[in-house]
Amino acid sequence: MRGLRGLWPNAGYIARREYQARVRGRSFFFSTLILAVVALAMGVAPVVIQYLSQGAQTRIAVYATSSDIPADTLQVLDASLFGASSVGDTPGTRRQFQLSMTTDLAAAEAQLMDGKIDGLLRICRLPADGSMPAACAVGGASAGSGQASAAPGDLVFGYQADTTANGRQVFFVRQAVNTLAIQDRLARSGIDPQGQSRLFAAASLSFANPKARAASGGTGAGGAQSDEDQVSRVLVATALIVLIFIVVISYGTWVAMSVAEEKSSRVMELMLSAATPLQMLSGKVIGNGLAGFTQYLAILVAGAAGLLLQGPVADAVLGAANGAGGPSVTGVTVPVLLAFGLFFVLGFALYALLYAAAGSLVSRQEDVQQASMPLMMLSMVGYFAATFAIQGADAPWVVALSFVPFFSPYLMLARLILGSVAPWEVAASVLLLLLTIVVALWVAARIYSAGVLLYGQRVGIRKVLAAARVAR
Amino acid sequence: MTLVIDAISKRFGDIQALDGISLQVEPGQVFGLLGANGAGKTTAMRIVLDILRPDSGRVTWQGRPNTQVSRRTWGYLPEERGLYARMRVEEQLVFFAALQGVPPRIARREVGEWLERFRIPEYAGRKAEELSKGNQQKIQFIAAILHDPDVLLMDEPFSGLDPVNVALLKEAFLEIQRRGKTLIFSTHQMETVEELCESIAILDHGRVVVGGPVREVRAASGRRMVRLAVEGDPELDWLDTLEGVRVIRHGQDYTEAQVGRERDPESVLRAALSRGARVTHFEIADPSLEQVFIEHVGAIDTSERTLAAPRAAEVTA
Repeated sequence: MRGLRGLWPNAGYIARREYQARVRGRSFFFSTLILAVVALAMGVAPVVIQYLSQGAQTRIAVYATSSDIPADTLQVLDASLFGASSVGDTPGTRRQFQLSMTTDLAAAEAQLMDGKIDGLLRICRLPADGSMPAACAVGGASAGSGQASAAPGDLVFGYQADTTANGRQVFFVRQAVNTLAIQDRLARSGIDPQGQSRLFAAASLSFANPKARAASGGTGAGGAQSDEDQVSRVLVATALIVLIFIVVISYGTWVAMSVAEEKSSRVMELMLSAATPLQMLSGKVIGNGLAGFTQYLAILVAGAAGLLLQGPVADAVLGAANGAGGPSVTGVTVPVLLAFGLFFVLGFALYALLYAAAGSLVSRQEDVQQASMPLMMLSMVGYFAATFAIQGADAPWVVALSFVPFFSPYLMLARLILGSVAPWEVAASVLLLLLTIVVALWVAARIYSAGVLLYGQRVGIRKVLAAARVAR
Repeated sequence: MTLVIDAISKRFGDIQALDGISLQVEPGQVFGLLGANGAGKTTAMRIVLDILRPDSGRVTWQGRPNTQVSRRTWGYLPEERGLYARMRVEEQLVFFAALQGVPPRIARREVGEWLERFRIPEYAGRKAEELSKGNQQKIQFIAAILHDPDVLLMDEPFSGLDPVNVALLKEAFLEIQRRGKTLIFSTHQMETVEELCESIAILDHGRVVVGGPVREVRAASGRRMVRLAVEGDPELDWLDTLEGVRVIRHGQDYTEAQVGRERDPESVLRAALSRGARVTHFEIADPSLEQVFIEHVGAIDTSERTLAAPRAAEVTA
């Protein structure tokens, strides 16, 4: 094939031109800037969330009318409030409720009016006559349901806060005082704290997924993993797969746009008289790939900077004691990173070549999206397959698809992180990928050299094939 | 040592763009390729450049097939002008030269010289999109010749240029020819062809209808033109009544008529004298290229059969 002769230096010149044209463009500058800022923000985000949730803390003062309330009242309330309100919160976030005992009711009421505290909880014991003690009767019927069922000797409560009776805050407080009242009743019935903790001890439940067990034979990384380990691996795999997907779609589109631009500006014919289609194709893929990689690096650096800044920012905003503990990431190993780099580059090369061919079939840049739709779909299939594969990386269909060139960048990577893969399997899928790239280069060059001279007509598959057959 | 186009055919779908054309261009010649739109000029050039492959036939340069000839042999000015809109003029000329193997240092010097020659040195640092169409065309011409090609093919090089720029480009043509290069260009402008070309070929519907040295082509039609002026009779209505004579046009100074090959042009003069008129002007000439063209192809630009691309703005499929 004539085109293979002397790929260099022309492919290099074209790559350099493509790179410069791309990187100097205004859209490149702004998209890189925006993405870098987003990455930086995401790096610092945990600290910011922590800071914001700290601002939303509800301070509650607790006032007891008699001295015979349980000694551990504050701890019980705190544990109950924290447990109730922290469901789904990330560990390390601050408690939503902050409790403190007070002995000066008048001062506490003043503080409540001033907004220095958010709520005032009064604790009384119901006397033998069953009448509500004045100190705890803060409202009328609002305390209703609790009081109705209270027997003499029970703990009763009054709560004042600038909120609604049915709101979230009152709901949590009601749960907490219920717990306290029940524990108090149990104690008065003669069940000591030890007996109580036995009473409330959680039942033991053993869980296993028999299918998952059977599939993961136990070799390699699939063996004994703690739950946390597995969660981290899933996160890493998802992140890397998304990264590859974004690269294929967005930077592949760049290549197609660049081809379409040369066609619509008619500079194509001049290029054709100076360079072979193969030189143009490889130059474009390399140039745009490097431009994409440049943007990528900028985003990575910004994201890493954000992560590194977490510590100092947390110290400054939250005080040293509250700095977030560094997230532990398992699943990112040197082999995984190397494989990611390899599949990243090869996957991009394969798709970008076909994107270039798609770009050569349209006359205007506006039509690029439509022409590259099949490639988008193909890439999506790989992406979604990989997201499903994360749930069972050793399933037979995952193993099979992880050798198919258009999907292997996604699926082999997922298997590498989450399942058990023999080295020869990775080598085989990379080899298949390389072979496919060579074929794609040849096919794309033919479509390209036929497509770039077809103007104005909607180009069907048959027309392309007919033109490609006689193209050089 | 010639460019030989040997029985080339090329079909695009239903359209037979080239139907076995054969041409020969001698080195150092200026060769004109004439034809109505869609006659096959652009396709022929693309095939010579190996941008397209013919269905049959072959092209050789100095005895070697064009597929084996270095790309640097050819310089090409496409009919569809196009540059990288946002690239600076000098930068993109150096880029195009680099693709043809010219080192940047030499390319930059050449670019400077040519911009000077075309009187636009101040545009070196401008982006192409800031230039007028005519100036972009000059930049493209420079792109076509920076690597000093042996054969320069130009598709309608004069279209869209003002008279001053046409003159500049003609000068550049002659300069290239003085350097011993071969020039092939297509055009509609017959005067330019008569002024510049040594040989021509007229294409019609993918065939060469007539070709060869300009003088021979004009003489070969067999017809002659007579130009006659007679005192006191500006209309010369009787001319048309002579057998084999057809009046082409009535001018201010004389009336021009075509005389068929079966008739001796001098008989027109004898006829005028026999009418007792006083002849003030009589001239026998070969037909102009335009007349030859019309004779072979019909009126210029009548049949649009073009494969050339419509402008992007017109394409709304």
